Amino acid sequence: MTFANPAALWLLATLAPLTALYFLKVRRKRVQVPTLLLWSRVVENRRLARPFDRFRRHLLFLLQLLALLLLTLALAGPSIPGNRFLGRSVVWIVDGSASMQARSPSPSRFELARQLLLDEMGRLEGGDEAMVVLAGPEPKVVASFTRDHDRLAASVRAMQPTGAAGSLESAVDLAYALTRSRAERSLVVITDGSDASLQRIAEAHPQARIEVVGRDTSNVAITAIDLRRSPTVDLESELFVTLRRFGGDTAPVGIEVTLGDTLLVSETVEVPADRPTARVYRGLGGEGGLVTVRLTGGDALALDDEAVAWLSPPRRRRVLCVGCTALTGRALAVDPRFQVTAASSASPADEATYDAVLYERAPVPPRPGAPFFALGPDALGETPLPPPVDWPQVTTWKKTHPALRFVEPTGLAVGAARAGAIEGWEPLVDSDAGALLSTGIHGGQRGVVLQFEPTASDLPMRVAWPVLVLNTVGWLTGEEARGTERTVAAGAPLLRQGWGADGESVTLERPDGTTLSAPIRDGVARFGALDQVGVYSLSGPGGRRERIAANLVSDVESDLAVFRPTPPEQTAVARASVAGRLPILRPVLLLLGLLLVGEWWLYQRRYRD
Amino acid sequence: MLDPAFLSRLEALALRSRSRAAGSRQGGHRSRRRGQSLEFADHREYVPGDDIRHLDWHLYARLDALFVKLFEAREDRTVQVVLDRSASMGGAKWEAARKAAAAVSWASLCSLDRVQLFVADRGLAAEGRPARGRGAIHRIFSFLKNTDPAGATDLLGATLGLPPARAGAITILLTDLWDPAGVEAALTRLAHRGGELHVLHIVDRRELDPSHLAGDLTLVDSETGEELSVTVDKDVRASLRAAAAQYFEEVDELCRRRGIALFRIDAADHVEERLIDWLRAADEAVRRGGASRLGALRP
Repeated sequence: MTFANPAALWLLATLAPLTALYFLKVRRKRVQVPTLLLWSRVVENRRLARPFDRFRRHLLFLLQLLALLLLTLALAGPSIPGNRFLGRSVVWIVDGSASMQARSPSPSRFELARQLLLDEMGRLEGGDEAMVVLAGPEPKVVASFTRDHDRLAASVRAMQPTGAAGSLESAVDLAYALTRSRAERSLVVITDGSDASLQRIAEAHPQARIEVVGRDTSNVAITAIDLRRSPTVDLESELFVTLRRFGGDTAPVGIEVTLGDTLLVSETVEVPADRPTARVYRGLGGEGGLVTVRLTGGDALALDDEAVAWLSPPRRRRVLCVGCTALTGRALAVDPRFQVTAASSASPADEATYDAVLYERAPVPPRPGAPFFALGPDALGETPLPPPVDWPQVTTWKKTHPALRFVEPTGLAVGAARAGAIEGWEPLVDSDAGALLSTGIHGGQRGVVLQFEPTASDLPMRVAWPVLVLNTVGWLTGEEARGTERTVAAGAPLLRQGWGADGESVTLERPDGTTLSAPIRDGVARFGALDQVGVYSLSGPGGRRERIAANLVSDVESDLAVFRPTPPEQTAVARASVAGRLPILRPVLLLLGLLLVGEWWLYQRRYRD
Repeated sequence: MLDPAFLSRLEALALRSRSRAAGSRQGGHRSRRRGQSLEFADHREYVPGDDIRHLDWHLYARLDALFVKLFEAREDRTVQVVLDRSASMGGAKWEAARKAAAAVSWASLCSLDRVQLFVADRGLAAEGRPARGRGAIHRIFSFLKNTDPAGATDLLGATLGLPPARAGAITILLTDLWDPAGVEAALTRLAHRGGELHVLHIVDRRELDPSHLAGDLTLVDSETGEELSVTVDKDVRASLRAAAAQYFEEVDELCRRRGIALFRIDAADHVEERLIDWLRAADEAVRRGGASRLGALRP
């Protein structure tokens, strides 16, 4: 037996003086009786009939000693070796991904998980501490370690699932990190088994108990949505939608496409099982607005039956080209989206009337008036770029960045470049001598800097040159936001650059009406993951606004098949319970209570009858 | 000491004896001797010298022989009242015993008996010479009033000092029968010394059912000062009641075997009424020719 609070055992030291006091105190009341004749008979008879009666004389005292002993034991927090269902520190990791909202079974997998969690909480003992982590796109501690089980239950009742794909693995890692210092811990993962990492979790954390809720069910989902510029019609967009059926047989599905409140398309599509079905919708009009695709008929998961995309109103972007060469001018001229104005110089006030400024053979001012693309500058305002180096060799580049889409810089020959890192900027193309193309914030504006003159390289001779220029200007003017930045997958983090100076803030209104505010630091406003499906509204300094559509579009979340991990053989027993020490406070207190009741009864029987 | 109304009720009652009195003076009790009373006893042949007034002329007329009518003599009787005054008789029992002694003395004096009062503890002390006549009651009352219970009980030792009982004498022992040495020897001796023995067993119900006692106690014997440590609870009290009942049965059986008239009086009851009951019961028993065993009180 071990004790949580061994210091309480010092209370046992009071036994000795208590015993001494008892025997000093026992002065029997003297009562004169006419004769002891009968009393002697009685005492003698009882002595013969009940040889242990002599102990009864001190029975009350012995019971009092026992009560003190039990009280001391209770205060010391005794425990014995054994297995318990839950450790003293319990972490419940609840899958908060979108699939937990599936109504299989009703009302939802998440509600089932919540009930299971509350049931298990009811089995906590008084001294147990517990924590709840919601595994959404980012792990979220719903209730940190506490022994206040009522507060814990209230937090669980208020907990809501997210509309995005979740990451159980990172939540379990977080839970392990938070409980590393606790010897007697148990982790319980409550999930619907739709997370691909579940088997890995089961193998990596054999001590964790995994509770799977939900049952297999078929589901038809929108797994992709995109708006792209029409390759054939200027300023027109096309809507791409991908449908997929998870489980079940091929069956028709009703689709409705609306722009704002206007129904554009209503059709029925045969969606085969386990094979994506792509649909393209054209003729969305030139007004712009919110495009909504909705599957009619309904199924177990409503979140993936609707997807939205934000269609920007078509407009030519005004680009100011300061000191541009003919090569650059021609590259811009091929794209009807841009209206290019050439100038030898411009004031920040003039620049502010354009969507983007392109500097070539012109210095970059300390505070540009608009997002800018600088070709081979020596400095950014007063800040010089790194010194020139000869023949840097391209090593890596960021393929996913919109500016580098369809750009292949491999084998680029650069005679001289101011290659190297620009402080606070992100390199997009790197060389053995440092960055060759970087993006960052300068003077409160987003910018991209090509760190060598195009004419000092073979870049203008490549196909990549006009693509790079158009990509970059398009990205800077926000044109590329159509179909990419403005329609995102739920769960992705949100960053906004160039929305204002440091110290100012950007506000995000979520689909449920709640708002978040993020300060601009180093020119970037950072929000966490967009964990709800729907339309978000961003508003920043100077009345700048932007709307973002977030959709589930996740094959993993839409596949409602339940996966039950196979527990590792050797830990099958360990998963059922946590090896540790069983607290025996309750039995001790129960015994103490019974003892006191018994003593009271004995006292009443002996002295009051 | 006694209520005048109670005294007048006692005048009508007297403790009768199953045996004929053998007193030395004329009294109120039938005697084995032939005497001057009006109660016919027998005939015998006339011899010269007999009082011719006692000749039965009717018998002479029928039998032509002289017979003399014999009449029973009326003689007095000695009543020895032995009062146990040991310390165990203290409290309500002493009050009841004093009343009983006074009452039986008064009733006997009213019956022209000679009454001698003794107090017994380890030894025996007489109140004085045998008293006769109603006027002697004041002396007895005074003695009883000035006597308090004290000392240990030794009934056997005390009875050894009793003067011999003449035929027809009555010995009345008023005691609680708490004698560490036992009462059998004492009662047996008293029963065999002649005369008739009445035992008035004075008990106090509260002694036998000490509901006021509980817990860890040291009991002190009022006579010997001996101590006994005991934890009194419900079981102990029940055991005490059972032991008392058994003791009473032993006493009853002893009295039955020895022909002792036993009557039990609870000091907590109306003592006067119980005494009247006793005297009536004793009278009835004499009529029926047996000893009165009226130990109605049981613990």
